[in-house]
Amino acid sequence: MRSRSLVCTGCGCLCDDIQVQTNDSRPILIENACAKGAAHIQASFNPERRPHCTIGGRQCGPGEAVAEARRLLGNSRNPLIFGLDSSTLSAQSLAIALARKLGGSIDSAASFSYGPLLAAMLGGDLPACSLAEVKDRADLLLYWGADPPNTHPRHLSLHSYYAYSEYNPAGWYPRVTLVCVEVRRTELSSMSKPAIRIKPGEDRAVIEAITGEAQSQVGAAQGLAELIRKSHFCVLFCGLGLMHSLGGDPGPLVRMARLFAGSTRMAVIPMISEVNMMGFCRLLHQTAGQVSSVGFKDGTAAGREHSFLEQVRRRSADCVLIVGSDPFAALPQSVMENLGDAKIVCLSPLATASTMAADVVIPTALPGVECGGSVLRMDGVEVALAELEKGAYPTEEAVLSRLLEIL
Amino acid sequence: MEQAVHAIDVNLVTCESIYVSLAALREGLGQAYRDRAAVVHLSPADMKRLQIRDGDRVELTAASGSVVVAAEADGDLEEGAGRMPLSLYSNRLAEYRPSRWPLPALRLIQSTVSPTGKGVTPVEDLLVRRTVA
Amino acid sequence: MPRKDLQPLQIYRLLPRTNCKLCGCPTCYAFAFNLISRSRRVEDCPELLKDEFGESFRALKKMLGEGERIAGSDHVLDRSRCTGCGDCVAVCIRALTTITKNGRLAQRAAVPPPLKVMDGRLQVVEWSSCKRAVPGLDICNLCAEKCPFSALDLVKPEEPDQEDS
Repeated sequence: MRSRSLVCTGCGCLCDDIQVQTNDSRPILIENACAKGAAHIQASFNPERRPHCTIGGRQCGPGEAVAEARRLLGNSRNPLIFGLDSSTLSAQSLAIALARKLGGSIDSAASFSYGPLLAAMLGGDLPACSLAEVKDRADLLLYWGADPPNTHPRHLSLHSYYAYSEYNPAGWYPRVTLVCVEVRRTELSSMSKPAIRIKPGEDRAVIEAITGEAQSQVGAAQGLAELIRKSHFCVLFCGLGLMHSLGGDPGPLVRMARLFAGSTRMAVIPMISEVNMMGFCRLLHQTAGQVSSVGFKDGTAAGREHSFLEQVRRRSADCVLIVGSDPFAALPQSVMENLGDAKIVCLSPLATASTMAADVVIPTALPGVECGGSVLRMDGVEVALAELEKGAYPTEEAVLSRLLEIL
Repeated sequence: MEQAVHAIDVNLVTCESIYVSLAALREGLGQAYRDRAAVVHLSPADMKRLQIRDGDRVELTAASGSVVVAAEADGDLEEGAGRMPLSLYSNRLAEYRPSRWPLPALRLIQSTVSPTGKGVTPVEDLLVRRTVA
Repeated sequence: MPRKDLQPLQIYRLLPRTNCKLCGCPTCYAFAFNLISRSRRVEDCPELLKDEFGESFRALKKMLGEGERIAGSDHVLDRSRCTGCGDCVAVCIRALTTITKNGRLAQRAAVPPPLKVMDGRLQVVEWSSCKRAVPGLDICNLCAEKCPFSALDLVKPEEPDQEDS
């Protein structure tokens, strides 16, 4: 029996205090990880949760599957690479190189979630801060459209509210205010004071009432503005609820951050659920100047027409390479049905709705359990993943560099 | 006794549920996932109007599809509001129409609720079937 | 949030009150105490499983919840609800060494943390460190109070063998 330290890749928290005791290379006790993290680590040791290597539903060896993937990608007129939010930085750069070589497009789930917000942050329009700073200095934690108990179980206990470093001597109470803005009662709203309840879709109106752009009075806005103004360091955790309600447009948030820039310090941290969406957006931003939806057909171009969603909707992609992502579960089925005629190659560590729909499935090693690598956490801090046990599956890097070689 | 209403319109808010993610991680898209994901929470007033009780099945119909799930009352909800975990079930109802809204409408779905005698939609029916060559 | 404090009499009224001793308790009143402390389960009463007590059985189940006593502690955990978020562990570590003594705040010597999350669920690993385990210290409820999913409950320490009739 031996004990190993691990960084959990179960969600965007990337908890780095996990201890795993293994016996015969199987985990027998996982300490500190939440239920989601423990299930994630255990899934990689459960053969039923791993996909088979298949071509058209027929089982085959990985060499044969990679050759078939090469054939499909090579024959494609409009190849599209999608996913990579949960891949290591090195796998991501290989995928970008592959897209460039193929003259295809590359996109991630960021294009329909945090992409525009991350672009505003990378462009310097929205101030960022690290989770370590949150823990040390923030005095107002504002979760907007986010419910970490359901998405990031240990976010409060490891990174924010309960991890706060300055405490009242009278007990556990941190000198910090926890506020949430939500459209319904959530597990987080029951612990927030105050919990601000708004109507579904009202988020933009609330922000515009705070910034004074809208004349209409929204009840919640005034109290919220007052709270932010009184704070010294306010951290806004943006959840998917907020991003969807704003239609992905970070503009109102940028204007709100500008408004408070003179009176308080305000920083934004996106509540990214994927392990390395931040890393992929930054890499693409460095290579192509855009955080998502990039095409390499004639030089480098970016824009809506290169996004996964648009290409699927218009049925313009004829071969899709999905890397470590599950769009068939995450997106409306009415959209995904448009992929009827396209060829789909799926690289995935776990069996998902997408591996069930793919023409070619290549099982890969689970980053953070079966292979190491580097990823960027939601606050942009680079985290080195540890390897628990080398599994039987090739890494995404290995498959992608093999594809690059033979194409 | 009041006449039962056959169908009502609700605004469904979807939200991530850790129990749905846990079921999917532990057992894949099986029975546990179905039990956790195939649920809609409605206001007690709407439950009364439809004359249904906790656990009764309802058919949700939206522009892009329909599913049968179990209904449960939630006193936190107002009349005409509903809540559902984000899952393959809610994604069957969600639509993507860029002319109306730039993102897929995964989080706020307009749907009709009507009581039904049908069984809960099996997960397999929600997987996108493709003719794998 | 913990459940409202349950009263033994309230539970007792729902029991068969035959004092048959089949559950292993001397009286039904003692069984009521044991149910509240979760050291016995509703199913331990063979009478309650009969159809005629169906309503009582369901009412008791609802009152007591799905929680199970973690052996050797006051903690009652609903294993299907616990997500291992560790909020309880974090607040416990903060509150562990601060106590009130003669009405003033005082520090208690450092002790190993009583709670830990293992295999994705809460475990009590060092019960002797818990403030509730030390007679004379404040009765602390923080871990249960801060559970976002109401998965954790605390019960009073076992009553000294029921002084019932």
